Amino acid sequence: MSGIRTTDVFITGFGAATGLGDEAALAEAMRTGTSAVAPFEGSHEDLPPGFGAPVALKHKDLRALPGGRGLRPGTLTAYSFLGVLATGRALLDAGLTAPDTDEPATMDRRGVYLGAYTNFPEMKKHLKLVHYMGDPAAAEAGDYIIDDGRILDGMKGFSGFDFLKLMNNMPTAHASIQAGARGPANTLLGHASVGLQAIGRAWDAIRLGIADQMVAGGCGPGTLEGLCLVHHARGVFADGGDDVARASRPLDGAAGGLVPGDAGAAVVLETPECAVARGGTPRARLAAYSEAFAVPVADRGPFSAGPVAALLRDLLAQAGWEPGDVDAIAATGSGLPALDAVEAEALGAVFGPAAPVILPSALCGWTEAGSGPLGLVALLQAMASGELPATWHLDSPLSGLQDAARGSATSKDISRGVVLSVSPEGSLAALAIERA
Amino acid sequence: MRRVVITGMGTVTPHADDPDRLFEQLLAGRSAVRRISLFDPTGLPSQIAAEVRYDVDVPDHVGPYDCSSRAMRFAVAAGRSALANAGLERLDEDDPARLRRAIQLSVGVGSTAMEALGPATLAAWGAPGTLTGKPDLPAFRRVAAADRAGSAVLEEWFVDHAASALAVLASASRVCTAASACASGSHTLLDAVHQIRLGHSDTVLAGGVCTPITRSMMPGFSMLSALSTNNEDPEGASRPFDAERGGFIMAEGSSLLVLEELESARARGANILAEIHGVGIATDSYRLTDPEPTGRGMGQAMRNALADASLDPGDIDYINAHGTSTKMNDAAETKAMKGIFGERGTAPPVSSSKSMFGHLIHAAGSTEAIACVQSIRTGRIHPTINHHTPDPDCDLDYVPNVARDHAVRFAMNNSFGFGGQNVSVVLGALA
Repeated sequence: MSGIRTTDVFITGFGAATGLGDEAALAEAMRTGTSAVAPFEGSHEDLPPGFGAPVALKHKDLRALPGGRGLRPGTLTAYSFLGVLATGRALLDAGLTAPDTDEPATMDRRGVYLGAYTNFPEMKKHLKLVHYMGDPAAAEAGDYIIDDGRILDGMKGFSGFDFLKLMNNMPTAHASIQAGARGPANTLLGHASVGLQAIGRAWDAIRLGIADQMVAGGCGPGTLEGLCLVHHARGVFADGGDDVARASRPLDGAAGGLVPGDAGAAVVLETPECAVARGGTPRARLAAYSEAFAVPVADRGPFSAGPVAALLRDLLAQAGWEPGDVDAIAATGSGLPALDAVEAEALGAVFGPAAPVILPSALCGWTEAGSGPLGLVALLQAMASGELPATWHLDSPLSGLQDAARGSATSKDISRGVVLSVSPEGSLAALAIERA
Repeated sequence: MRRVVITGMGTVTPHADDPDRLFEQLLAGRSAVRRISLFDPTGLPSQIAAEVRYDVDVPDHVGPYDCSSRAMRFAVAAGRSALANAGLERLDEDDPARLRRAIQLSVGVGSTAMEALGPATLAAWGAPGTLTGKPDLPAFRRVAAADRAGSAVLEEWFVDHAASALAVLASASRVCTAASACASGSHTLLDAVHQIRLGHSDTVLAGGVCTPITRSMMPGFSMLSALSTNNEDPEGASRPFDAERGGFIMAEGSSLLVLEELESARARGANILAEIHGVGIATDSYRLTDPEPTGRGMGQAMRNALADASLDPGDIDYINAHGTSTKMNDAAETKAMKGIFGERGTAPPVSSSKSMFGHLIHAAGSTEAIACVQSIRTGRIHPTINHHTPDPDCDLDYVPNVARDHAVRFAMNNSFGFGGQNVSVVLGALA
């Protein structure tokens, strides 16, 4: 049994797939305010809420990425697809261009952790299965029951892979093959914070000495049919109004709910020794990570700001920082009024009313488990550019952040930053990083 | 390094909802595999499974969470039992001890109420039997989104509610739901050990729940040639390491264990059931469905667990194998075990609990960990039943058909998943 490592851990690469495009497109949009949110078209047409920020999942985009040739696109759900896109882009950025052909000893020390809400398949395909199994006579009579004698009919048109691919561990299973990762691998499941949770726990894996190099992030196809239908049934979508491109208004008093978006985002973490040995470039050092769970109230309403503020204070204490040491904060900004009110109050309580927030969700929508890692990517880009982007669509900031709106980008030396991920159902995560 | 002990166990398995009664059944070599009763499986390739056929008594809600689904009921019942067994009370909202408690759960679920999706299917395709091949998407989406019953079924796939409910029961302030397919249950124990060692938590309620005996999962996994089709002999169908083995048996249930940091457990006078001495993980990075045929990833997980426990192979007295009863797994696992522990006569006895309760998928590892703890405590190891025909590729001592008195200081529990994730856990008496 070995001890806990105290070595620094660095981010040496990052990547993203969003409705805007890859991570470079995200950086450009954060500078210009270009929104990926648009009226739904094609396969998304007629899907509530009628607009969003989907990612076009193209097989050719995979093939060009490290480890992409070994993937079988037909076995990928939207979750897995976004996961391997993000993994591939992060590997590419880190200079790991052929990870699946590395020396075995290197692959044994490389792992993958990805966060995902679930690995839910296309709803219409599942409904087709149910349709086949339905009893025609009962349906004619206005009832609907499953006729077990028709189960095999229901399997027509399906293969074993259709069931295998919806197993919840598949995003990481695919990514581990892609990344040539033979070390620890896990898929963390749940609401938005699991993407950041995957990064925090990947850091843990390196500290524990079971890996030297980890790919970690999240995949969130927020425009997936089943998710859109469930969110619509819950009544949590925003009203697009006259300008759907501005419908996502994180931490804004005029926000009316979620705007669905797709994203996968990931980073490569490694020890300094590992990075130096292969000529990798450290971008930022992980300074602290904290996670918590706040029980929602009985009707699944929002919890209070207290647990979120406590999480942030714990994070700062771990990092040995004061609130004033933090130059930028990538916030969640779901657009859900009650949840945003909690987040704004907590951020304001810790960092003050002019907290320097970064809000990629304004342009990419609500990207589920992709959102935390996407915030980290946006923060890393701000560190690299020396520019704090404008707070897009933040016209009337919520109480607590009343002075946080920035109409344009601000030149700023950003050396220390925080990413906060707040989930509607109470799981919270926060990460602190310092520029290398 | 902080040490981790087990102070509570709770289970809802096809055999029993109590760890002691479960182990009695395993020692007696009783199979829980029967013809499926949850629906009529006539005509399916595999018509047999190990179901939970008794009432599971849980509240309608835990906190804000509805406990009506089968997965929620199993997880909540197992969690309550484990917490009671450990003597852990619920804490006040402002009790700082909450910050030291966590949940680590793996969840595998399948929809059991497909009828609820009927209105949406009618809107999309018309009456069953009239499939045109092209759904009316606008109508389907309108109905599906408005239908609360259908939405509730869809939410069964959104898998974090069970862990959240357990967090309410356990007064926990950290929650993690994760999945690594068939390795998941053991993976939760590994994650819990890591969380405690790192000092993030002192107490973790860890384990898995799985409800895969559904109209879609049964034929779906048959298509992967993974399930036994020995429908005429349910109790004889799960045959790990036997030459006549033909696939695994789907099973459902939940098992949760309370893991605690040793000094914390001692300070509160907890009854320490066993210690987790080491954990190991490795990934095949090979194929989604097949284990790497040389057993490389499996072997690496076992080696990592041994190294983590600072033990030699000769220190292991018993292995609870993954032992699924599939051709590929059992041969690859045997090859991996022999590579570490040597040939028959040198290697410790190996048995597969799945020969009796089938494959609990996400809950398999945590349930089999309970069997290991019971062996450590009682000095008895359960058999691998239905082991009658030797297989040259599986030539270790599998404790065929009859339980055995056998002192166990250290036991290894193996769990390997679709997608190539492999976890091994070394358990033993408190050192």
